[in-house]
Amino acid sequence: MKNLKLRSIVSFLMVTVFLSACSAVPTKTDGTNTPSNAKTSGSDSSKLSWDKVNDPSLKGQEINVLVVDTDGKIGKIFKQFTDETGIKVNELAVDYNSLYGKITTAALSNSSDIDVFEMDTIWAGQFFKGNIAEDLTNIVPEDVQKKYTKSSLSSAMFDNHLIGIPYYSSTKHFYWNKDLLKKAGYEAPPKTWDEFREVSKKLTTNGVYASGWSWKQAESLICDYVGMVYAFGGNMIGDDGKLIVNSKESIQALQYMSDLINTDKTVDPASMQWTEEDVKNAFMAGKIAMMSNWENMYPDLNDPTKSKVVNQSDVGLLPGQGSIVSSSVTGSEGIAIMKSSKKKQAALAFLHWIGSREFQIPFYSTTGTYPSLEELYSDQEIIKADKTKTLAKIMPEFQYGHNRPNAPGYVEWADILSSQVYSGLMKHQTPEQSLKEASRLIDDAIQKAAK
Amino acid sequence: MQKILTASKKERKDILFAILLLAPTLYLLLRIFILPIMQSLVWSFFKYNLMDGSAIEYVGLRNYVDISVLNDFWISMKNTSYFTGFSVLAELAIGFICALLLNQTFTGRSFFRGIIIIPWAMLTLVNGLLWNSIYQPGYGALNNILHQLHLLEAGTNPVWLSSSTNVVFFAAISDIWKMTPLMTLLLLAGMQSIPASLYEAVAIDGAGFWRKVWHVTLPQIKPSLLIALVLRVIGAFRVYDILTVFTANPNTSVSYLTYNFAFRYFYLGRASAMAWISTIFILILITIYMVLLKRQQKEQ
Amino acid sequence: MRRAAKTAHPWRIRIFKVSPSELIPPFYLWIGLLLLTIFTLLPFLYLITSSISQTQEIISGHLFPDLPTIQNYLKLFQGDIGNDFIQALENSITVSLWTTAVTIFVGLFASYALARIKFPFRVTLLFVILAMQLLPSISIIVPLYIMMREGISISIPFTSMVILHTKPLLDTTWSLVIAYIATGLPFAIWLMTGYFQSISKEMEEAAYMDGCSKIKTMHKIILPLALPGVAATAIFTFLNAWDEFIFASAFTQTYASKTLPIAVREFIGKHSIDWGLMTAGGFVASLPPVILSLFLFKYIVSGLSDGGIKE
Repeated sequence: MKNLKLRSIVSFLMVTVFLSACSAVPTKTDGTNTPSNAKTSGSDSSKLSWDKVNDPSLKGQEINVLVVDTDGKIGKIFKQFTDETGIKVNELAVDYNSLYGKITTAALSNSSDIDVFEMDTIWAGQFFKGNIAEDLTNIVPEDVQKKYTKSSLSSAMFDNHLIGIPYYSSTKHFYWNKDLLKKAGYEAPPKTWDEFREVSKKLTTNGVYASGWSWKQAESLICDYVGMVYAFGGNMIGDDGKLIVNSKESIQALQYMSDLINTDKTVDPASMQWTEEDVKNAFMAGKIAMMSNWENMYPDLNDPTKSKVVNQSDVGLLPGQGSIVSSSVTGSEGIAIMKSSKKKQAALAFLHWIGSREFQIPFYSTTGTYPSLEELYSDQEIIKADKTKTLAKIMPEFQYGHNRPNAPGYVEWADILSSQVYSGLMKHQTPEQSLKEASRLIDDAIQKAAK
Repeated sequence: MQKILTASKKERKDILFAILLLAPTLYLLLRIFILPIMQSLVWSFFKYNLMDGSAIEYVGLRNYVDISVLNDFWISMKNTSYFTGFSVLAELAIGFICALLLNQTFTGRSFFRGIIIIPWAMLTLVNGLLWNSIYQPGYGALNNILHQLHLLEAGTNPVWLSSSTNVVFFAAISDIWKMTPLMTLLLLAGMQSIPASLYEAVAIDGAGFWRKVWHVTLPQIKPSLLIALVLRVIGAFRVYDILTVFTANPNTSVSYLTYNFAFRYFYLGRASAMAWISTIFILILITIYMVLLKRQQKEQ
Repeated sequence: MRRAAKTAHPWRIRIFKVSPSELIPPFYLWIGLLLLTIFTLLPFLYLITSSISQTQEIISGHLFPDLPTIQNYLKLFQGDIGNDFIQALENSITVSLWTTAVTIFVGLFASYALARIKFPFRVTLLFVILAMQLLPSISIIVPLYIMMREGISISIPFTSMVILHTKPLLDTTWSLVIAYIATGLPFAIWLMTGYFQSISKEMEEAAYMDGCSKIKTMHKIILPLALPGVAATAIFTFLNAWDEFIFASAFTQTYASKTLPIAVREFIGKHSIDWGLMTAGGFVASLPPVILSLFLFKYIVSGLSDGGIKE
């Protein structure tokens, strides 16, 4: 028995030592250091070249592409790429909410399972600083970069580095119910936020609120808030992508939002529990007359099985204020290459194709997602594919789109900011107090992260 | 140790038999759990911010100190405790009553036994979204029904999920709805092993409902009751997914905050420290429980 | 009048009287059952009515649709979405059944040992097994992911002899089965140990005296007695595997392994939810566990205690 005890202790120690050798001290994930045993060309980033994307040697390679594609429509377009180049694409389709976790789990385990991934604008800084995405600044030629809409290109950039190829363009837009506005005596939608306030007061009658917003304590609140701050002449991004929180203009913007809901009471109070989807539902039910929401609201707004306001609505520029014509927030995305990928040149060939007409046109006609290539907005094929006839109304907003900051710490700052802005709107504190507090907490978080 | 050395032959044989029976389990758990646990422990002593390009360095206990003075951490602990206490007690009470009901003999019993599983069989995400839509101010079922029952004035339209306390409360309601069947099931299985003769014996003394429950049911199902309790406390303490549907405010639960620290902000060191502190917290709870269990076993 | 009262009397007795072996008089029983049904079914009915409603009716606050539609169910089972959903349903069933079977099988031995055999550090071991589970699953996800990517090797302990080295397990249902067994086993052991402990020791010892071996005693006496508990544990394990999301999200990549929670999650877009599909999918996804539970309830009810001791 004594023997048994001894043996069990020894074996326990052995197991422990063996296992701890595996886990040991954390090391930085860095794709360039991982041993590349795949016999493929272009595993070294220095050899990556935009000119070699049509290189016949890439034929027969296989890349894994992680994108949001829950109905498989995008995957079908990818087949054309394989037909053209002979590079096989394994599409790993996820839903948007799982995308971030998927990328980071692969990155944390230093995995080369994923070669190419879809990247939301707000992650660009993290993925660049965290060595997850390949830096494309010197790889994609400048004249190619210039071909993309301002909104989509800046979304794929952080601190003057290009992290991905622009995938699509997206901003929030202004939607209004023509019938309700007419009833209140307005032929045209408000052009400034001052007008908006006046219009709102008249529109709010018998159960209908003038506007509804996605002011649930979440990223959707930040989206509305950022658009508003820029409308009042403010700026959210300071030097090296840090957040500007406590400016005169942002206090003004928050005060305005608070006035709408607390003083004028023209905002549906349910807004405090709404995301964009709920706002759309309320608009479709005819409960609110105006909303700020993303593109792609049509054809749903005109679908009688979903909407009660068929053919009653229109879309256009969000209001501005003073010298600012309009202001919106961007939600554009990019497609990036995983730093730990072993097939970077083939991945680059894929990115080249994603950013080209060959992909962008079928992408728009099958999914209704707006192109990242500027020239396509006057392209006959795109205009023909525009079944809802909204392209001309949607496009102008793209030049007034503003990015949310995308520095590495953004995700944390945004959580802090949304919590403080929310409490400001709930009148738990004044707008000045909430933004001051937000600023203090964010500085605190930055300090702690650097410590 | 002395015990092993002086053990009789039979006892020794017993021990070997026990080891044999436990071996597959222990092998599996060692294989799959020890490594991750060590990993997380090691990380908790490092400054390991994955996403800001900073260096990895050994910081000793600083992560633990940082977390223990972090205001958000304590708010989230408070919210989690509130959630856990409220939902587990309610589940226990409702589950116990349901189990009593379903333990009787009556026509159509299998029907009722069948339907109680339904809430539990719902996917957590669907459950969260379902209740989120029920709580919707405009068209949600809750306001709708309250209006139709005239419990709510016609013009009013409360926004239920407007503060973190409310979010935790309403999330607890949906958790109670989903997880009460588990409690019912575990208690029902426990009640099955109560011999009818015990009830008959106290019934002869004229015992009514309360005395039967107090003197027969409760003592008899105590083991399953205590285990069900631990199981649910652990489950409820780790609440996370349902809250993500209701709010993006991570302070509503400690798991939510830990998840954000690890997989959104990528402070892997601090997140690991947070995981360990909250684990130790439940560990203390369970230790208290274990002491109670041991005492109870000695009494038997 | 007196006569009327007299005839009312037996009726009253019948609904308020309780048999010695029961607890609740029929009157209260049925009130309780009514409340139970409302509590359980109301939200579920709302899910069903939502799934057969058009969006337009839901957003205008109709609890019951004026124009019911089965469009969502057709969409759920037709075309590409249908293929994926059915595949996910199959994966979920495979994963959950395997998980349940292995967990119960392995767990039975362990919990029998923990409940019935006296050996040192028994309670401590029980404690350690449970404590392993307390760390949030997110803190073990990355190491497990690496393990799944490399493939799992089973070696003879303390030697370098490898019995089996699997292929990489990412994007296979096996990765999920392994992860779920690991996370489900301790709870299963705990539950079953509890039920084993509540079985009287006399019966076992009697059998042991009769010359039955340990294994035989376990098989013939203990197991039937513990069957209600084992069945309850099986339902518990099955449902945990059925509902698990975090591991499934990390280890699956395509519909070769995606399970229902992942499939249903895909009805949520970046800024939108396909509410009709979501509710229809949620309804369908809840059916298999309910059917399985109905089947297992037979064992919960028919344990020896019910037939043998109780009556």
